[in-house]
Amino acid sequence: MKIALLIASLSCGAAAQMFPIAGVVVDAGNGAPMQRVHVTLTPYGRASDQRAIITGADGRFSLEVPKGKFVLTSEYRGFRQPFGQRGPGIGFNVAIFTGPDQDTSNLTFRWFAPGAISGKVIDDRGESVEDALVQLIRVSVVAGRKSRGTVAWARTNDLGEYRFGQRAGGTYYVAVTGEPWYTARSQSFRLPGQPADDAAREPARSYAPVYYPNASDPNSAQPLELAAGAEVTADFRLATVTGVDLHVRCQHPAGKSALISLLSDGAAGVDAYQRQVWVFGDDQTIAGVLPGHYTLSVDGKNGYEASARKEIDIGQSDLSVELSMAPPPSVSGNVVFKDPARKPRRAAYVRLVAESNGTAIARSLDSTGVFSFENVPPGRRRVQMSGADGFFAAQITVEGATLDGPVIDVAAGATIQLNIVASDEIGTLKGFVMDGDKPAAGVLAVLAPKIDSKDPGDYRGFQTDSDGSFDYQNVRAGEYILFAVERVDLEYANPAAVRPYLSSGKIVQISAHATVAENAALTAPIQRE
Amino acid sequence: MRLIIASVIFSFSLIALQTGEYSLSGVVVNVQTGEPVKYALVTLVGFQTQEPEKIDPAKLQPQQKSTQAGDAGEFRFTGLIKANYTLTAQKPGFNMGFSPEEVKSRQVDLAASVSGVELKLLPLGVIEGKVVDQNEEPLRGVNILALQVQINDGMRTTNAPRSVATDDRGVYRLWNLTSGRYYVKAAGKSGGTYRYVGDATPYYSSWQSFTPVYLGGGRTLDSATPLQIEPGSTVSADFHLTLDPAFKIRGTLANAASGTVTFDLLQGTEDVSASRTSLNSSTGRFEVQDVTPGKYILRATQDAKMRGETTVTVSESDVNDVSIALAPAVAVQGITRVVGASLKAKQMPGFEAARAAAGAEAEMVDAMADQVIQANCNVSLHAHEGGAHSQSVPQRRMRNATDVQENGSFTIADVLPGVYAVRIQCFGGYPTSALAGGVDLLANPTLLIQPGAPPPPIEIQLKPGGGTLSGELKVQPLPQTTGVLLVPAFSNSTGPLVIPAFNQGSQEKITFTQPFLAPGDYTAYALSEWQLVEFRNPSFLQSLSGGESVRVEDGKEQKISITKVVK
Repeated sequence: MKIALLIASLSCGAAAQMFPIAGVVVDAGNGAPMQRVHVTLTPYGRASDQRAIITGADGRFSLEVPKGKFVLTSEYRGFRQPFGQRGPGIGFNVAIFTGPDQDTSNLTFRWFAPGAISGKVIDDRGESVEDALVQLIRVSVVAGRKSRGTVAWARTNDLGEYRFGQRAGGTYYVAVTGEPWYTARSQSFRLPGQPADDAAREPARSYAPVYYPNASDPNSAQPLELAAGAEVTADFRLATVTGVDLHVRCQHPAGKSALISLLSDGAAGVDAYQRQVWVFGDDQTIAGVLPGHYTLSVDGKNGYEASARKEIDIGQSDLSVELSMAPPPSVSGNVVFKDPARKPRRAAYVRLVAESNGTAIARSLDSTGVFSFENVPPGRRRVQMSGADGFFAAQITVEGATLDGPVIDVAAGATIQLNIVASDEIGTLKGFVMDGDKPAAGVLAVLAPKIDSKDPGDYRGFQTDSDGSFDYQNVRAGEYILFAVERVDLEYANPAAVRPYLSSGKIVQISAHATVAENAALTAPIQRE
Repeated sequence: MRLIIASVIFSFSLIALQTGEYSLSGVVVNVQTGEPVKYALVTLVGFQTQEPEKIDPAKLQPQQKSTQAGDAGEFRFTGLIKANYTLTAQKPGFNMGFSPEEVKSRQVDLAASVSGVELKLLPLGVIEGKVVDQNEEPLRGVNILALQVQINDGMRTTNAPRSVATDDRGVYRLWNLTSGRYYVKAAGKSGGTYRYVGDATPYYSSWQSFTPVYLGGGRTLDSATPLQIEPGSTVSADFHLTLDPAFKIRGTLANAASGTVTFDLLQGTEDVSASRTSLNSSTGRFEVQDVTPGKYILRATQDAKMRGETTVTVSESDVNDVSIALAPAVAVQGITRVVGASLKAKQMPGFEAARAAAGAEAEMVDAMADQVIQANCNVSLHAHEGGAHSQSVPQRRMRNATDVQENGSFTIADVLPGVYAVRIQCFGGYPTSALAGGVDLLANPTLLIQPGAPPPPIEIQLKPGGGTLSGELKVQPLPQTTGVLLVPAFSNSTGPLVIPAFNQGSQEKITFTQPFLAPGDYTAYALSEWQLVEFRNPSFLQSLSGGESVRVEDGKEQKISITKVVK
């Protein structure tokens, strides 16, 4: 096998000049070299030709490669990071270009060590609370927009302890809910037809949710700043409160399982679970619910796909809510091509992206352009196309749902028909970000539509590669403004965040099936109000 | 106090907790430390002492009360009437004992106020530890299983009551463990089968992994070091794993409809974990991560209804283009044919002796004399998959015959392709032959289910009657539990069996009897704690010596006397 490799490298490598990709992995915090880091080098688009090296005590890595574009990543203790991050979790990936005019022999791979958030949950008697549900919300810029989303859940152990390990530094919120262990075990049973003995009944006890730092009101939740490599402790004390009974009535086929979720507005505007209970029979009581505004949903499980959703307000007295389970929404449709002579040669997909958390489901088009999604979870979903040939949804019409830009509102039980006109009127924009007369690597080049767009997909960001270059593929034809900034965490898909920079940018016209070359000058930082 | 009515099922045996004059109080204690258990939930259930028909359902009041003990473990119920009560206490991290004495200690026959009741709770155990690699680096996301071994019908089964993944410090904790013997296994990386659509494989490239090991370093259950968990104990169990270069197995899975597919990577009797796999729903392309060099069986199962497998050898590179086709589970058909007339009770060997021994109850024995003993067999298939699964799947899957018809035909539904041990248990007679196509299931009780093809039907010839073996065990001191293991010396049998022996109040001997035995030569061994013995394991049988030889003849009762316990 070694001989075969040798022949292979001789046959194609006789003329190929080799270039180094070498450098050192250092802890971004203290600059110390990092050992036992697994550094992987992947030729761009050829994952199978990946090569790897493990750093020694000096943190150094060194590989010889031909001229080309390479992706460099590091992994340490199972945590991975791309090359070129500007802060913990900030930055996309700075590719490395090798060649005679590139110096790639002295790279500094700054490693932003992940941190951990851990703590202990007790109740108001000082007893540890087992099985409390701890929600971790991260605030970060994702695809050019500030997003707040739940990134992890944890359950406390028998000591009331939880831990979120290997978390990129940044801004988080933590929320805790739970149920006293004794309420679930002293469930009440009444004989059929027997009236509830209200005089003898105590109001049900439950725990009020708490938000870091032990606030009982989500509006008083504070962000928790996790520095790279830091260990932050966040302990919680759950207060025992009494609440009312919420009776949920939803008919569903016998033998099918379903889960009721009671959600409220939690920290940072992210939904928080108040309670999750399995449905037994047609009636279910959620005891000890505090007054407030909630979303109640019932979702079929284990192959049973029906669901129901309702907004409710809980006051000072017991409430009965009736929900009718509806079959899962289905979304189907067909794609016609704006230019019938231009159709995708490779697989093309229609994607539905949840507006709430960015999760996507995709279906491929058949040869006639037809696609079909069964069992789409209800909610607002952005309709997109994807695939290697760069087709996009130029026009969308919908039956069975409302349309807001490219976003459809998928209601429980809906049958939705989408008609998409797909186009590949796309172009390419390439260039360099220049800081004076030198290319600037690892900075953000932004391509924003000249006229504000509601579709964040129309805004493009690119962290420049090692040679200072950017390369926008599959850009919809049209007029854009190109600018470049130092800060990689700019909300480049937020029109308001982009606006201050537009005057310093340059107007670029992208035409279909054409490649435009333009450089961008790095602008000075602008303080936003 | 919330008053609770128990479910209707109990309504006629439970009393109404009417307002009475008595009280019942006590304290909840940790039986291990003697300390009070704070805030335990104490529940009182009353049982009626009057005739059920005298209860007026309309007047039924709550029959169960709960209260939480205070911070000194104290509890008190008041306003109780004269009745029998049962108390229970619950608290996370504790359980109650269920020996007859322990159950009895929680029962109160209330005829006057009672105080000082001690409710005992048994603290549960903990296994915790740290997992590091050869460089002392912590390993995150390692699946740790706590396995328990059980012997059922002489066959060993394991189950994994708990599994947990290590955190970023390599630390894990398994709690609420009932006392007993555990085998702890580092069973691979946590993950699961990830189904996706599109072009991108969701798992990133993994370059090192470890071969699953048990605590102590053994790779099989037999070489593992067990941990004994005592009530309330916390036992530390650290793992030093060796990371080796790991490779991927890629291929295509055919016939995978939508549903849950799980991959298993098997080596001998051990599941070496294919816990991180991905499967493309539209193309069937799969990738199994973290495979260290070795020879494996790669098995894919969909919803326990479809299965396919193939052998894969991984040496020093990824293995590509493996193809697995899922084949549906099949129904195994069979029939038990009774050859000859079924016996009446009085025709059984030993009937006369039993009648004589019954003394005053001979009348009852006479009443049964003409009862026909329906001869029949139960057939079950046992999957040959020993070891310990990475997932909490029961590792030895057993399927019993269902849909047994009057003419003796039966069906074993949903049998996945694979090799099965066939267990035939008969009553009222003994099998003279059991065939599946050309295979003699008495000589070689193994059934191979080929993918997608139902095997030839199982045909059992059952002869009513057989011999009876009865005897007595005379050893001192008499063991608590005893069974007589009967190992046939002939191959045409349904295998070894254990006759449970009972001490019927005698100080000198324990008696036992077993009818419907196939005629032939047997060796009998008295075993104490036979429930814990793998008597279907040939290597166990070879380890035995000092048995008594006995010949059983059809239609006769053979007596035997055993004077020593061999194990």
